[in-house]
Amino acid sequence: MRFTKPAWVAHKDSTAKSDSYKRLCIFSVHVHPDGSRIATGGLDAKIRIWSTKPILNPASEASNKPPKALSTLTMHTGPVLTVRWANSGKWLASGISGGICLSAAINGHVSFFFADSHSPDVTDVAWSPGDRYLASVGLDSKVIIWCGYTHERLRKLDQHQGFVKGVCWDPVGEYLATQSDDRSVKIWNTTDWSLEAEVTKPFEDSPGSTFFRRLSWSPDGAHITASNATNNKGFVFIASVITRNTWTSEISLVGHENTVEVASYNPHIFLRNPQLPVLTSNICSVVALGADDRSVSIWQTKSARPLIVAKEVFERQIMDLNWSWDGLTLYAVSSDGTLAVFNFDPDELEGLCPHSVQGTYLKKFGFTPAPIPEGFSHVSARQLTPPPSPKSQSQGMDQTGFGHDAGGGERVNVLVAKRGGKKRATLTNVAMPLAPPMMPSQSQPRSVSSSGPIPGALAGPALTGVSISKRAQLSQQQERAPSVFDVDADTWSPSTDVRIDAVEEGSRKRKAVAVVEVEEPKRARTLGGERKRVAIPMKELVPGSGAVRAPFGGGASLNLPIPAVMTRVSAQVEGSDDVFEAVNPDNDEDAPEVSYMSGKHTQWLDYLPCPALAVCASSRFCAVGMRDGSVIVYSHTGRRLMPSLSLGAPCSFIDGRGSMLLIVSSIGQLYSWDVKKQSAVFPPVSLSPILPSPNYTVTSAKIQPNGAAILTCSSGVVYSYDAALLSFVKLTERWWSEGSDVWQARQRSATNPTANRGVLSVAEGSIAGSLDSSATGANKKRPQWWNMAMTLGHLETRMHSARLLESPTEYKQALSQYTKKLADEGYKAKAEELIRELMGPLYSRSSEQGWSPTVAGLVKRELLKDVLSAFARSKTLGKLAQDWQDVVRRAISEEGDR
Amino acid sequence: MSIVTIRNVEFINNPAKFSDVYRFRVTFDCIASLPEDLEWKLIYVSSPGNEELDQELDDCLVGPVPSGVNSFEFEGSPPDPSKIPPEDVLGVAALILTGSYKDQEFVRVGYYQNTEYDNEEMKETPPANIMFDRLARDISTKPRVTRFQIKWCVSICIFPAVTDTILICL
Repeated sequence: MRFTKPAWVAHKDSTAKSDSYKRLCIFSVHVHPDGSRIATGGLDAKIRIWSTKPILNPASEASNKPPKALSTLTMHTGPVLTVRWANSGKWLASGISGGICLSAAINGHVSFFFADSHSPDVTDVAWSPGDRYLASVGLDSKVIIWCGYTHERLRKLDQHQGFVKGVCWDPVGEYLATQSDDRSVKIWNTTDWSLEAEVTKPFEDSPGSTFFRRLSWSPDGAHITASNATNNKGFVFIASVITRNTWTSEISLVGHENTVEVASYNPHIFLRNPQLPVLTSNICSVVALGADDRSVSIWQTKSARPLIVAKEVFERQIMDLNWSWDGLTLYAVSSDGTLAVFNFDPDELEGLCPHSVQGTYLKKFGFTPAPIPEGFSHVSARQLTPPPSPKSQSQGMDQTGFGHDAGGGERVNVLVAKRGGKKRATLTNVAMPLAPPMMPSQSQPRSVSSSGPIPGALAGPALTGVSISKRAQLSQQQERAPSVFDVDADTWSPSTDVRIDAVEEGSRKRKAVAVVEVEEPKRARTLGGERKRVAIPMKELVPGSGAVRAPFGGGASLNLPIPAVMTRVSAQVEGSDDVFEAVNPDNDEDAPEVSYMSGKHTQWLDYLPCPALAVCASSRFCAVGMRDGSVIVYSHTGRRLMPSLSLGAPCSFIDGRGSMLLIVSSIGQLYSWDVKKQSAVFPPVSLSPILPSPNYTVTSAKIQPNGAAILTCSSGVVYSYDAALLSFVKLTERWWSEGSDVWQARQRSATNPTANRGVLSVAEGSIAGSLDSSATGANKKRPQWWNMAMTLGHLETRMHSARLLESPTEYKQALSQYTKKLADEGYKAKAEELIRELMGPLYSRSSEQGWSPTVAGLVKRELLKDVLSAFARSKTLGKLAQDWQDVVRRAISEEGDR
Repeated sequence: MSIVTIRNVEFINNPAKFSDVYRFRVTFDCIASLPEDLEWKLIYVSSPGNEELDQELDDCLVGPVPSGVNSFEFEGSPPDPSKIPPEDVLGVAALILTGSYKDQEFVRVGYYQNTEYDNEEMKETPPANIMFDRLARDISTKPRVTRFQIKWCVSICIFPAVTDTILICL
């Protein structure tokens, strides 16, 4: 491998003084399909076109032939965030402020088509296979699909909820994938532009701080590698590999020390074992990742470790990566304003297949792309001649003085001169023979006949007409250069002996799975196991209501909203990608049913006596609540784990975590069961104490794995039920926001995904949404002790809540904040009481005193050590802390003696 | 940046007799299809000091022009001898080819034309009255090219929503 950083590839700051020249950020790089030049887009609002030969060949660099900088396009007013050549090489699409720009590229000359479509910035654009479509995405959260032929705007997809920062096409042409700051990758079906799938799991904790989220689709169509994913609650930065059709992400590329900004697949299919034929099980790919840790890694998917990791290649983060069409050169650009080039020898990238293999392989998907608009065709530039050599160019210059090679083996449209004056004759030129309509090919050089139009004759609208003119010389001659276009077909598929039959044989046997090549074991017979998943449109059958008023319990009768009866309700199984769903028929003949889906397969099903209202699925069970108020709990294999429960009223909320099931019925009864123990955690209790006014209602009801309920009330209070106190308790409430220093919602913790958010902070976040109204309250004049009292009260409440919810990290956090406050302020009495509470009885057995040695799963005396060391640093509490540290030491040694 | 760039101008009959038509082929790059015609003019400048004596030899329209490499052939009448001051007939004159789009000139290509008698005796001792039928012309192959930025305003019309702020209208 050769590594080069050509210093002369730069976007310079023209405003700076000439002697102190400063490199500006390069946002994007893309290689022309013929490999002869690259385009870069930079902060200076320019697109620059560079020769690749001087980059790859030092002799060429020294001789300055061909010229290093070919062209500069300066029509943009804002930074150029993306540049992408069309597969045909005919257009260069760029993403700029306000829209996209298409530049037609003929011998370095350029024109522009502007589309005022996005605002503000376009972050990425991508050409579909065969240039059938162009997709652009931007900071306006929109995805726009353009026709690659007519350049009309076809579609606007606006289901993303945040900046869209990456886009790529399926090489088959069936799908489009986009990645957004809303922490999702969305996959769109190109036949009707509907949302095929949404992948959110790997991105749940991904930071929103990256410049891009460029993703890439593998050349075999089997996977998408998405950037900026995380593992382990945001602590491990990865690229996530999403599998086609199931749209799950079991594979991660781990190793980068900061967020992955861009992923780019090598355009070639690779063989795991080059001796074996092209079968799905023998295919892998090569993908490059660029990250904010300033390094580039290159992976071959047959191996769990990267082929190459290039560290400290750049001084700042990587913005874009792109492979040349021959698959041997990788270009990378960084925000430090430099370009780096990795040039491989063919034997270093083992198993590289010619592009014809990909074309044949992709046929197995059997996807027929939408027909191209009538009268249009595209030809791949890869078919075509390389750009004129510098020699012929200089010759042309000498001869004609126009600086262009006039001959040059291109097709020339011969036009007709009409006699002038201002009378405009009704004449038309007949310049371009209509190219035979071609299907957009999957960039397989062989599939396109070399008799297609030639580069100059870019397929434009078909021209027809006759020329009538006094002196017009009309001809339709094509000055076609001999042989230039006939050579190419072979140059791009060097190994003509590829065993195509083997490819087809392989594709008949297996469907799309490639990298994960575990043959799916033959599944055991289950109820409904052979049934394919049918997509049922979601619609409402019976509107939900809050109007079931049942006289119940004599006293307070609440009525909570009942979910509408939908044709389909589903829940994702906790900790997996399986789905538990209930289907209610919209006619009287079919029975409602529930089923458990793994991917597109039904694992099992069951029929219900009554339409289902809500479902939930924990890691241990699935539960469905029905309209008649009964609840059925299944195991993951479809056994009933408990007898059908009859609650007398339909459920409003249902939730499950681990083996705990929580239901809030529409008449305001709160139930909580331990499915494993087959017992209730506490007797059913009415929610009337927490809903004193009919104006308030419960907005969400969740359960913790320890059985504690979390009920969010629209009054801005989050409650739980403490079975020991036989009472509802406030976990947190909006009241604390009016003065507590530790009210998290006010900080931007909600947007800081790397923070490990505990259940309590999520709860605080959930009621903080409507905080804005009370934000003015913060300016109110408050008594002197207000803030301190609120803060301490808030922290004390938090510790109780964390204990109840068994959230040890949050308990520890609240305790350490509380300790620090006490130490800073020197509240000795509170401090001593806290110490005593954590220390417990000294000379008697703890169990006799009703004192528990642990809290939220933490050992109290261990916590005490931290507390004391914090107090010890304080001026006023230092003495107290030292005394108690001695006590603790003695107590521990005595226990050891005992 | 120009939408149309001339690559070459070939004189098909050069040298030729003074009274022959000018025949030449223009080859140019066009990077966007132009809805309107290009207008080309051939001008004979006999007396650089007096613009009124310029003769427009021919004027033609070409179009609509597709994007790509295009060429067309063009014929221009010889200059009217009666409009040339006798002292300016022999020697060097200028031949100018101009290209315009929407009445804006975007390129001007100038050539020197040398006019002399077609035989040595008459070159040595020119007759008192100019014998136009014995004159020959030779156009130098070195052109002087002047380009002008004009408002093309064309290539953007493909898209429905267009702003005129873009710099294509160079």
